Amino acid sequence: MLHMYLPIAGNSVNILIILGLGGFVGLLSGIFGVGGGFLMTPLLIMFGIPPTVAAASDSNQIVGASTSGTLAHWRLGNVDFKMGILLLAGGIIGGTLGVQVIKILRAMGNADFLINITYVIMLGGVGAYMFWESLQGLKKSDAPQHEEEKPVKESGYAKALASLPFQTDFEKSGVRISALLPLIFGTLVGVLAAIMGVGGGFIMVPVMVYLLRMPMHVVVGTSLFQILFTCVNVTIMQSYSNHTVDFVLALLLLLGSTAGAQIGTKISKRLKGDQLKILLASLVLLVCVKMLYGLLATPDIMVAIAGGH
Amino acid sequence: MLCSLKNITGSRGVTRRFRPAGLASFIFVMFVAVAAGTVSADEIKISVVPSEISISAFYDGAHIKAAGTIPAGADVVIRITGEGEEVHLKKKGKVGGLLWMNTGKLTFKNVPAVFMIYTTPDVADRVNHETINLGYFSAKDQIELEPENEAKEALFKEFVKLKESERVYVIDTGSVKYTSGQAGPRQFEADIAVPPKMKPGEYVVEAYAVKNDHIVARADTALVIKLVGFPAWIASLAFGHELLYGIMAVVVAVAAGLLMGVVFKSKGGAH
Repeated sequence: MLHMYLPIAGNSVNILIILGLGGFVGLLSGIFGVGGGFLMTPLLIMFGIPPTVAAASDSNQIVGASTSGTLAHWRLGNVDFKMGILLLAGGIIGGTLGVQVIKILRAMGNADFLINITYVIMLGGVGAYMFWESLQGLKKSDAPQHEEEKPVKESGYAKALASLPFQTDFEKSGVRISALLPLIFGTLVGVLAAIMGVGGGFIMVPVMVYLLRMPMHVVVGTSLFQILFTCVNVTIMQSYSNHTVDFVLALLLLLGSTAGAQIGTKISKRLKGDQLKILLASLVLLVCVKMLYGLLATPDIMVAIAGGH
Repeated sequence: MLCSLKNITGSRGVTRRFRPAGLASFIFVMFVAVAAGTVSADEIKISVVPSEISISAFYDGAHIKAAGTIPAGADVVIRITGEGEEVHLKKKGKVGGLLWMNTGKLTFKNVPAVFMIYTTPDVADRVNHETINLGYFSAKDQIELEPENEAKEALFKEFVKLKESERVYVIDTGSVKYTSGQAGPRQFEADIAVPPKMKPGEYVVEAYAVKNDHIVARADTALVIKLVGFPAWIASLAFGHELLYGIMAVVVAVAAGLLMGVVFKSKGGAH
């Protein structure tokens, strides 16, 4: 068994396991446009990496995977840079706000309870809705004779969207909406991501699909583009203020994940939007169940090292 | 005399270096023993080979051999301890009678980073005996808990479980072997596994001779673990040139991503 020593994490890991882990999470990243921190961080902790180092090194890894994924999706014409930049700007504002919000929550006490419950309800709600909605879509496409039976009704939400100022064409996404929308939603996701200590891909993807009404394939590419910059920021900040980025660990993960992201993009291309959505919904529900299990099962040890997700 | 000895260990505690309690009781026992003329310090010796471990790129823990001599009729307890460290923990508890989650933070100060005991099974059962007191709880008085909590002992037990799962807190009863008979001074040796989780630093390897539930002799030697080569370079960069390190990590990651993109494109172009 070939091992490598991680000088910042202060432990050694099996090279093949970490390469495989990187490859798998990179694959998910390329298919769905998520960073995969929800999966990677707990697994790294399981392999004996301190929680804070696991989370920070993972964002270093995501920089590589999302560069690789963004490039691959860009070649397919799936990255809406205009939308991505607005979401990103919102995300940065939201992230800064979120850090302040969490300080207030912590001061009030019981913050963890609130965060955990919100997280589970949100994952469960978003996952279930996405699953149901894409299932309907798949059923419809199975019965092509019924296609376009009636024009989609203008909902109150759509009317409200149309009345906002700064209406802008987002050609890649094929939508015309106010430029304020991605900025606002980006901010909201940024706040949530900061509070929950996650990258936010899981929240951002459904927001882009349902609230910004972007096509699923463009959502994946644009999400990766946005994640890339978020993680560049996190990596530098964590290296600078907390010394928690283990470059050796990130490098091992990278080697797997950058390849995984390329293969993931190829898989993504072959799947229909609804198929992608239903798979992602299943994944979201799985994470929700895992979190619930964590909350309900009696822990073996009543204390844990602080930090991480 | 006893009082002044206690003062010495007390002042050491203030310097925040971990000093297990076994030493204090040993000094007292030695004082009594030497006064009675029963034990000479030459009768106990310990050495470790190698005494210095280098962590290079592919390091995955190491093995050291501890060997030495104890007085006739005694049993050996080998103890390895590291410097005191501060550990921040999340405490888990039940909320609403149903959900397990973090219910608070706590900090242990001056807890030994490493605590390993190697001895024979019958002695292992007695290490917490008050006149021996070499077990995990010998560190209890030096350890501070923040915030103050009446359940310090129970929380420390949970902390020990955590450390045992990382293999840095160990009570091993299978590795110590005696290579000479009961008559005369006893030769002992033990194979000790140094887990990769044992951080670079200086460790104390002690040998205690235990006879009739009392410590009759003590000796120690040092074990040094240090980073060399690639890991040493990374660590010095991460802690000495933080910004440069962060930027380098990002640049390498982006480069790897772009490179992989090029590799896959050239593959795809063959179709």
